[in-house]
Amino acid sequence: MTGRNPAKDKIAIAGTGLSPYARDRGATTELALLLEAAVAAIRDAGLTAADVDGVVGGGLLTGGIDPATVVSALGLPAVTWWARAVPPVMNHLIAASNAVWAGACEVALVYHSVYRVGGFSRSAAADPFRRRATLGLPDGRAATGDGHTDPEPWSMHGSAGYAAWAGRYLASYGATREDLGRIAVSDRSNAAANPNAVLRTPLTMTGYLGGRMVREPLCLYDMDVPIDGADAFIVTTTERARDLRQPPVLVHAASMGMTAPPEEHLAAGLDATGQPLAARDLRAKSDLWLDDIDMFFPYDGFTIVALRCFESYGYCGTGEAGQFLADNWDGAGHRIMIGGRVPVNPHGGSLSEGGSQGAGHVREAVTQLRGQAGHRQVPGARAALLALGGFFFNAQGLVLRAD
Amino acid sequence: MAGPVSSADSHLPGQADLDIFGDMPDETPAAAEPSDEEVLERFPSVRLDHVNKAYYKGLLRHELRVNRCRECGTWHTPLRPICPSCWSAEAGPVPVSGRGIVYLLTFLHQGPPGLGVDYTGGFPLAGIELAEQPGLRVEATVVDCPRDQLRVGLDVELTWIDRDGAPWPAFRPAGVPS
Repeated sequence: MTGRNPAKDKIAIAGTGLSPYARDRGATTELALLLEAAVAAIRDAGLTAADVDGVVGGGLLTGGIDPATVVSALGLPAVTWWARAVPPVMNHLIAASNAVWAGACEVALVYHSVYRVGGFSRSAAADPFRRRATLGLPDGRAATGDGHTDPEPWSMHGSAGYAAWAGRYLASYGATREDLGRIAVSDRSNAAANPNAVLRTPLTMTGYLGGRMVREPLCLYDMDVPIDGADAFIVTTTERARDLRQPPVLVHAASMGMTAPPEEHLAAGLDATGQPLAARDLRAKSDLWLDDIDMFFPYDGFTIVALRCFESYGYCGTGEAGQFLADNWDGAGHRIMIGGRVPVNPHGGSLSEGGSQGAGHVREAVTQLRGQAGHRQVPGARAALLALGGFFFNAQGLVLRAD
Repeated sequence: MAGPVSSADSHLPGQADLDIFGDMPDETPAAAEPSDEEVLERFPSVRLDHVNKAYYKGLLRHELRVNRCRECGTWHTPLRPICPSCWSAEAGPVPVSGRGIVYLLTFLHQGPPGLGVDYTGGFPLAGIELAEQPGLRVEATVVDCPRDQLRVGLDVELTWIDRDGAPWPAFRPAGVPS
């Protein structure tokens, strides 16, 4: 952790592209979704294939699409930097920002795709082509080069680890399922104004508490919703971005955090994980902090992750997030409104817009900071704090600001 | 580098008590160390390699083997080529006592089908903190325990379950006759 931030405000997000989220996009491929988003992002920035000289990305469930495939499919004529990134999306964005800052490329295309596959969703398993989408891929931690570890139900790698730590959190601090439920209810209330959100029917606390139990204490509404979809972003220098079509959104500060051991079942404690480290590193790099930001984007692949973001980023102490949410609850809007002013995941988050490992959070922050969010525009939004990724081996932080 | 475990950790046996790479504490003299061929045959769907095979050979002997460093004495899971605490290469598999507590616990109400696992009412998946060292944990299910007695903090002991014809570790309430 250095606190150095020589690239502060020097790199910008100059374009966004979306392949719309849906519970099921049907007979399509992950590459098709990705390309739809990529073309939209390049055009959004007012650029062409010849302008893109950097490519970075990757998706989650299939192992993702390699940059070479994207270069081929988009016919990019001259690429001088590329990297394959493991989700969540901040890995992709930080790699792109660093590459542009270092001069490895001038205009980086960042892509992130999600494609429902057999073994992950029942409806996807009904499609024989989606069943084959993971053919040959290793299970569990074997996918990370760590020999063999079983997937569920024998291992905590992934969802079960979050459930187990949620259970320990509730027991340790006297927190309740209602504390988790506030995250889910708030997201759903916000999603009503987001046409890209796949879940827009209002969710009450009673409805939340009656949700089908999946991995105790996490129920159906504590876990993000599987979707097909993709996002893409154009990252370039702020100087270049100012000459392009859209208002630049500046990367003010970015951080990552990982601590040993990062395995879910081995973490020494929630305060010892990567999430609070990413928060501390971001705090050291950023001139803007909690009193300066207009929107908060805690990652909500699981409600417990978002709940902990309020603690790790300093809104309250460990074990106090439930009370903090109760104190900052907008009863009329059925949502969290920090200090009556700062909305939380105004697009509905991964729980309601769709699970995209933070890509939706970044897109929404950029859209809001451009002033292009329509009915859900946060008035006067100038800065956003994003607390992305999970607890263990993929925690990240980001401060974006308008130019 | 993380510091080595202090020698004041009195629950750790002294190094003189251990001979990691020589004869292991031999509680089952009749069982010879399984061969590479045998472990490959008994765990056909496991991504075996030249480090982790010692763990699976241990399972065939009903031993739960954990990485232990001969230099600093620290225990780690899973098996690693070097000690994560002191980077010594003198680290290798040593059987643990099998005593521990439930540190993390969830009940899975859904999961992959076809494994013979009953998710009705919630299949328990635990992170067991082993008695050998704070923070030393393994993942396993808990058996022989009524749902209302299974909780974080429960004292447990190692037992064995069958998966696809091979023994795998599980835990059960400590000291309770089955």
